[in-house]
Amino acid sequence: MATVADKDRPVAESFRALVIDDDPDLLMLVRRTLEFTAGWDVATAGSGRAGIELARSMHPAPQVIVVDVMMPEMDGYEVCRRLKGDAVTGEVPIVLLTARRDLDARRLAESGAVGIVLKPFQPDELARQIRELCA
Amino acid sequence: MTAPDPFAEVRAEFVGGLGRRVETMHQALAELEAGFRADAAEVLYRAAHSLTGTAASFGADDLGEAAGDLEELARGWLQRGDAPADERRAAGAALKELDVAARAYRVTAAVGSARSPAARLAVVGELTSLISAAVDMREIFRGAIEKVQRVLDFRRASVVLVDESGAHYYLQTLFDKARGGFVTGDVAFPIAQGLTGEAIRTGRPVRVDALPGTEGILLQESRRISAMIVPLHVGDRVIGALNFGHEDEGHYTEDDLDWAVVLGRQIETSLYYSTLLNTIAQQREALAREHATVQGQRNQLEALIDASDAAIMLVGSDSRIAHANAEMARLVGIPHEAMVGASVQTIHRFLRGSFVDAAALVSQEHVLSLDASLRDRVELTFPRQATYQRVVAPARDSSGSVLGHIVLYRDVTHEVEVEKAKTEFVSVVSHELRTPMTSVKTSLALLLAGAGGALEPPAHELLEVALRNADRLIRLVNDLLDLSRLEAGRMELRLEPVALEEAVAASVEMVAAFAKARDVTVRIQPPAESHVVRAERDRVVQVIVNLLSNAIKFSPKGGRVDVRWWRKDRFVVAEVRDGGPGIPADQLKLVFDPFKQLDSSTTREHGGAGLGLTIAQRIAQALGGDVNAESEVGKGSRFFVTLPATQR
Repeated sequence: MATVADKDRPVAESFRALVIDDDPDLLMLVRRTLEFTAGWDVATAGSGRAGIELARSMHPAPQVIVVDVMMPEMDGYEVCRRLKGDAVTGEVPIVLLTARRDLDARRLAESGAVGIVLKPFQPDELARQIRELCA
Repeated sequence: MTAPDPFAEVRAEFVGGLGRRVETMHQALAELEAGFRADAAEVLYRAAHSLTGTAASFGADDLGEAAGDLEELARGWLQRGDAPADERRAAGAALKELDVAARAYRVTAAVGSARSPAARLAVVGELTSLISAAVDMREIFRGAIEKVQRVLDFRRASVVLVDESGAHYYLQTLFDKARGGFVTGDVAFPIAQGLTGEAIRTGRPVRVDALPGTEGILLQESRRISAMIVPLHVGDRVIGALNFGHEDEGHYTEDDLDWAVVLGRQIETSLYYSTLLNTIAQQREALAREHATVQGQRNQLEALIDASDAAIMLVGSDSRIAHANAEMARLVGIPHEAMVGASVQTIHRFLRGSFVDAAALVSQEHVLSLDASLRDRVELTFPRQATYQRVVAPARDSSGSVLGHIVLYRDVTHEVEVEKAKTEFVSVVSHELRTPMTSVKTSLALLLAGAGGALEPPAHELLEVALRNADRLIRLVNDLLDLSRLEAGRMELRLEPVALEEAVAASVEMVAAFAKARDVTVRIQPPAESHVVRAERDRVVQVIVNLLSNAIKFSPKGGRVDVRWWRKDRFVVAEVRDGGPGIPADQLKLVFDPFKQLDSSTTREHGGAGLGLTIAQRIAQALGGDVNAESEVGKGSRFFVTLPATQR
């Protein structure tokens, strides 16, 4: 639950996230931000295909998956759709991360994501934003 | 006419008595004017009756007809014992005709005799030919007088015409032998006076032997003169008179007056035809001019249509094609010659297969049947796969009634592609810029937060500068993207009721840090009543934030920015007021132009790209409202956002 209590909780919170982004710099920075500002456990994958593989094999399963929308080969909507259709990962909430403001509303709705976070994000707000969307 | 006439003697006797009979009838009618008297009516009746009988046998048909009219009227009066005024007027007119006919007949009879001057006959013939040759009045008068001087002796001859008021007559043409020809002059006389006036008033010819002088011919000699005045009729109106004057007393005979009357009649005929011909000619010319003008305009319009790259047709109110250019024929797919005159239904049958969306043609059919217009884009598959800008608009005449419709198709495929490419480009570029900016900003923020270990104060300060400017770059990219979408009309707006109180509070919160850094207080003055606008909440906030940022940016340290709002007609107006330096009147409009700050130093001093006000105004306009400014140098500025209120 995203409550005021959550926001004020100390940084040593135990929360497992998987971040999928094709930009290695951003991938590292999102991981560092979530680790540093909120103390999360963060796994990363540099492509949609690798991300799906990792999500299926993680034990315990991640509590949230953050997916970049614009990726080559398999974009974020498609990654999201496959994760939601998978028996292992289907229950994990997914948050999309994008720099674009003109999103395809139909594909967004079909993806099954719980919400989106726009780039550029406020680093110290990122963890809270994601938790609120998952609530 | 030179053959011996066996009836010459009998005719001479008839002619001799004519004048007396006409005079008798004049007297009888004059007596009846004073009141009905059976004896006068009987005198009139007998004289007319006798003339009716004899005129026919002498071949004087005009005479017989006029006398017949008089006979008929007089018989009625005798039977009823009354001569009503309108009938007396009719009798007067018939008597005038009779008078003229009698004189004409006397001349004809004289011509038939061996004593007739052949010259007079020749002149009559020549005057007749004037009828067909001349169409101008002056030409007729001059021609007539020139010819007449060969057969009638006069010092002066003139034509006078009655003016439009009917109260005066004026000299139209004056010929003076002593002065060697035509004399120009511009003199008018009252009809109520003089001999010429009398002839015009009564419509009867006059001959005088010894007159002190007369106006119509302007002979004012010391001795007495001779004159003849012949009224000129056109239709049933006396329009003037033909005058002859001679300096000797008793110069003219009754025979001369007869001749003058015959000449007058010829002139009347000429005048009648000249007026008629003139009128016809004028009408014909006016029509021709009008036709030429219309044709000229039409030709210009058609040339313009033919020269256009667009496919254009004019559909008349009869639903037929009045004009179409070759491009339209190509679009419809039929020969150009087959277009004009074809019904619009036929054209639509040919067009139907080309439309990707059949409903688009239905809307065209609908608009053509109404006084309405249509402007949209349609996709066609023939003659090529393309996007067309379509315009269907009513064509009206000067009074505003619909004459038909103009239908225009212009291939805008390339424009659409360029527009799409531009939007795509801006979108991709801004995305591509945002991603690295996110990395830069996130790295700096993490460093500042201590993710890389503890920082010395100078390092902290430098990283803060870097982060502040990264934020500024991000804002600029966002603004550019917004502006490009607003200009392309591609800002998608989801209209909803937005409570202004909430939107203002959220906006003030968003600029709170900036205001604090600048030491500026933002004060909200909410109205007693809540106001709701129909807009998109985040866009309303964006507009107010932009105005607040601008106000804070230009406020002095320790200054105050006030926000208040109220309802005005169908709108809600929000005001953001600052105590800044103000904007000179000539630059007030420029503040909404992109990249304009009053001078370049303000950009450095106040930061920002100068897009905030432009974007605020464009968003407000896209929402159906506007942003305006009022300012006075030294007294601050007031910015007003107007947004449509929800229906109460």
